[in-house]
Amino acid sequence: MVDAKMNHYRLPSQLYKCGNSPHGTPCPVGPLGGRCSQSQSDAGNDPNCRPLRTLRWWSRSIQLAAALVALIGVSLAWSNVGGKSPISPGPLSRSHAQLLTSAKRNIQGDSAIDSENRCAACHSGLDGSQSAEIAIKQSDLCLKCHLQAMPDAVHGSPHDLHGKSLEELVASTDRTKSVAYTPTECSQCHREHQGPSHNLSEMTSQRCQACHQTRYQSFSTDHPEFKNYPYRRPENIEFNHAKHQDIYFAKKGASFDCKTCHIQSDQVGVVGQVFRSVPFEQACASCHTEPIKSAIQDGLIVLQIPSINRKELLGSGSDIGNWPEQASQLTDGIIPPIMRMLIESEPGGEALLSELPATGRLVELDVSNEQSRATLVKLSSMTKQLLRKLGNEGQPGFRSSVEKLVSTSEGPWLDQLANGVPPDLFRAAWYEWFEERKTVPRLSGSEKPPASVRLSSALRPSDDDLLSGSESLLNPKVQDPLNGDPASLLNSQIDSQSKEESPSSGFKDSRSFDQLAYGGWMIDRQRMAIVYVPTGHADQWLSKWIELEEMRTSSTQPKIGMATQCRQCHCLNSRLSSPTAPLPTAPLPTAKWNVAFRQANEVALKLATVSFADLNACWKSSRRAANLRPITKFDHTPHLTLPSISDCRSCHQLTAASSQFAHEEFMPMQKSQCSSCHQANAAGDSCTQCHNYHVGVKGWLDGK
Amino acid sequence: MSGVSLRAILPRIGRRAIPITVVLFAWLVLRALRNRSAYSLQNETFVTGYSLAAICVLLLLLGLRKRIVSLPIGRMAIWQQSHHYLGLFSVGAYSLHASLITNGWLESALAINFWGIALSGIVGWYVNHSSPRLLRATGSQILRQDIPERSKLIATHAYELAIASAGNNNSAALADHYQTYLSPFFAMRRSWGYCLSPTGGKRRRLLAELENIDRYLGEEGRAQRRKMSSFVQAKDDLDFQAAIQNRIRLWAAAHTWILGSFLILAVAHVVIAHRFTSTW
Repeated sequence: MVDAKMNHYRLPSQLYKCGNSPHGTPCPVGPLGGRCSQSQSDAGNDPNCRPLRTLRWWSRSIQLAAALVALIGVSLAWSNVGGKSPISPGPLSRSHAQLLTSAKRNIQGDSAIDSENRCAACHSGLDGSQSAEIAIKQSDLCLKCHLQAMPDAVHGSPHDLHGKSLEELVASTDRTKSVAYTPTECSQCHREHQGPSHNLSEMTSQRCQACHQTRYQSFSTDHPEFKNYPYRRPENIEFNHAKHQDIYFAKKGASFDCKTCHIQSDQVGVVGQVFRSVPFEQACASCHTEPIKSAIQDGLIVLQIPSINRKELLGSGSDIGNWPEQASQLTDGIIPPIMRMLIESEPGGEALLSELPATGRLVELDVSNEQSRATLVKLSSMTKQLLRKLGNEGQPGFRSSVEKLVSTSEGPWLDQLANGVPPDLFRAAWYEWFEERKTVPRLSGSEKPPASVRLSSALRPSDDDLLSGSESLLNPKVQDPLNGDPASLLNSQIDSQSKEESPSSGFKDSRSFDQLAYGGWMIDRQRMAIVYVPTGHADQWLSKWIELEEMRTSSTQPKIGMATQCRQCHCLNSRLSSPTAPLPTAPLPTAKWNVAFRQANEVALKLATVSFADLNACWKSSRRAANLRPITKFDHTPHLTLPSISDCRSCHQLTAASSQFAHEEFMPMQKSQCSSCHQANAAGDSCTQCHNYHVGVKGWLDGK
Repeated sequence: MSGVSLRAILPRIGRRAIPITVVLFAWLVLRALRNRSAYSLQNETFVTGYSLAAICVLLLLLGLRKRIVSLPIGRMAIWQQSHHYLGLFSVGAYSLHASLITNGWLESALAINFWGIALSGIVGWYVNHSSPRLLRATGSQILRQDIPERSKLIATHAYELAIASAGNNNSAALADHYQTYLSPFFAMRRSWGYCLSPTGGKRRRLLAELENIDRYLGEEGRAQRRKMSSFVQAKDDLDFQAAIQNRIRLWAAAHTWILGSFLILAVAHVVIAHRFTSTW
């Protein structure tokens, strides 16, 4: 019995051992477990006779203590003690941390996120507001903030594409449809809680190859060759680089530096400070200002009194009534394009225009023919009608005339066109040409005077006013000549113009054009016309008329002559009329090209019809919007710092053959030009270095 | 290096080459699974995490095996070896699952626990492997529980020898020496420093001092002195055995100290990972 006990307590698994064992004299009936009956009875006699804790006892105690600490820690962490959750697997990225650090913040009008509820901003079902039945995906919470930047990401489809674009993408890959159409979650690629320095948008090339099964071990060996990169699209600005370099610049002895026209150091675009073109003033003005001035110096005839041989008509029994003598000598001239459009807008205008010769030249009308005589009578009547209308109805009348010419009501565009049209000038012209008066009658009593005049009348002091008599202070007429009656002002202007003709008036004998060096409206007495002189390059009023012409391409009417100068550089839609123009293979910046492309590709897009806004955008060189997100991205900035490629020509080389299309002037870039640096151990060759994942439909169409 | 030592080493390398190769292969398989999961836009941490959890469960089975002595479920040595190599694999699996120390409080605590257990296991492994050679160097192996009794016996014999030498002029110096220097040695427990890293310095010093008193001893006294020297050696050998065996026990115990907290944190980690991760 004793031996059995002894063997038992000498085993190392016991929690206690005899107090005498370290001294080499263990008791044969020592402690079993935690108790020792022997020691209790003899404790007074032997100080060593008490059980000692073994290493096992200490180990077990440490284990229990550590487990208890862990359990308490986990419990406290789960209950989110201290605001910042200890169960968070790590700090957030810098941008998300900024968003969630403040005590209270509204996210997209949602309930306020406070420090205790910050996890619920990104993790669904934590704020207690969502029931288990309505499971909100974590990605939905991401898109609460990011949807604005990536509206197409809501589908969770590859590259944010959907509809036909997605079908097109899937068809181009070897992935099965079930995989391609499986929605993706944001967190599949963007891993949070990796610390503030972690780049959330970083993605390995292998992850791209989850879908892109063709394995690209490296850019240099496996990436397909570029297809006409980056010159896929024609430009709005028609610029022939070869001609400019070899002829124009060479003739002037100027250096043809790419950076002059393509770098704008005060702006940063989507590819750095390099742009398709910089403003006219920076790039073109030095050479093109004078030719433009020459082209516009005669002004744009808005309305002209046609020259009709009145006597001849009278002799044939046709009377055109009161007609200026200066325009009554012979039947000649051409109806100006703008006037034609204004006539077209009037009732019976289209019929009248159809009766005119196809060339538009009045001299071709045979006055001996009764039909022609009737046409001339109608034309004279229409001219008077237009002049009276514009004089009476002013800008609203002008606007309504133009509105009839366009199919849709383009409010702002029409407003801008009507803006600046001076009714008083038309009235003055009427009185001068048809009533032989040199002055314009004052406004009738029923007509309201201008607001400034009304205000000054209201403010005029009474007799007992302290300020009575101090006219110089309160009478704006005295203070500011612009506050006067516009009719009287115009009279004075006309007087001055009439005095121009007599050297005795004291005004120098110069043409009105010379006095309108910065543009404006005038009566041209020599040509018997109301003329608008454009301000110079990018004149808004002229550009609107050219846009109107572009919209009415079916019309056979003659074009505004001045626009030829504009069209030398601004291509707008003109290529559509060219039979040699190839079918576009990519969306183009010109509005109708876009329509042609989109229809050809059967892509349903918002811009199914061309708007004036689209057309207006074509005047300027297209700049890719930052939110467009094409499939391929590029930044010139780091490249231009490298001495070996700091010269633009090292990548953008002109072709030997001259091309009519500016975008075909350059040789497409070769992959080898990039792969010499873009290798894994050099400038890097990961997919996301040059490609965006979140593309979206618009970017996909733009960049593919 | 001589041919003899190479012959001694090569079998040992060969014996370990197979399990190490298996561990390496398993790690490569796990790495391939992780990459496959990552490149399929899945959450690869769940692959490595659950692998790690499975490995931990297998590692815990050793403790169970120790408690089951009656069932024929393989030799303990095989279990022990398997535990060691699985432990090595767990370190590799952890390296695929997370970084050395993670960011969050809970994850960091779990990582510290893991590394605590892993490092104590590695040290214990080294101690287990180096100790038998040291124990064999001291002659016969003695059970740790028997050491105090043996020490007591040797101390008693030394005391009796000292008493016997005290009554004789030829050996009185031995008794004096015993009383002054050897009596505390036979009675004392060795320091913590000696227990952690046992050395033969004290033994050499005591034996040298004993030899130095030979000139004060007669022939009979010298014979008694030699006997006393053998007692000193025996006592030191016992102390050495105790230190080595205690070291093995200590590391084995330390390996389990934070096992409980590790399991609690690991379970919490799995629950939280599933609760807060949308894709896995």
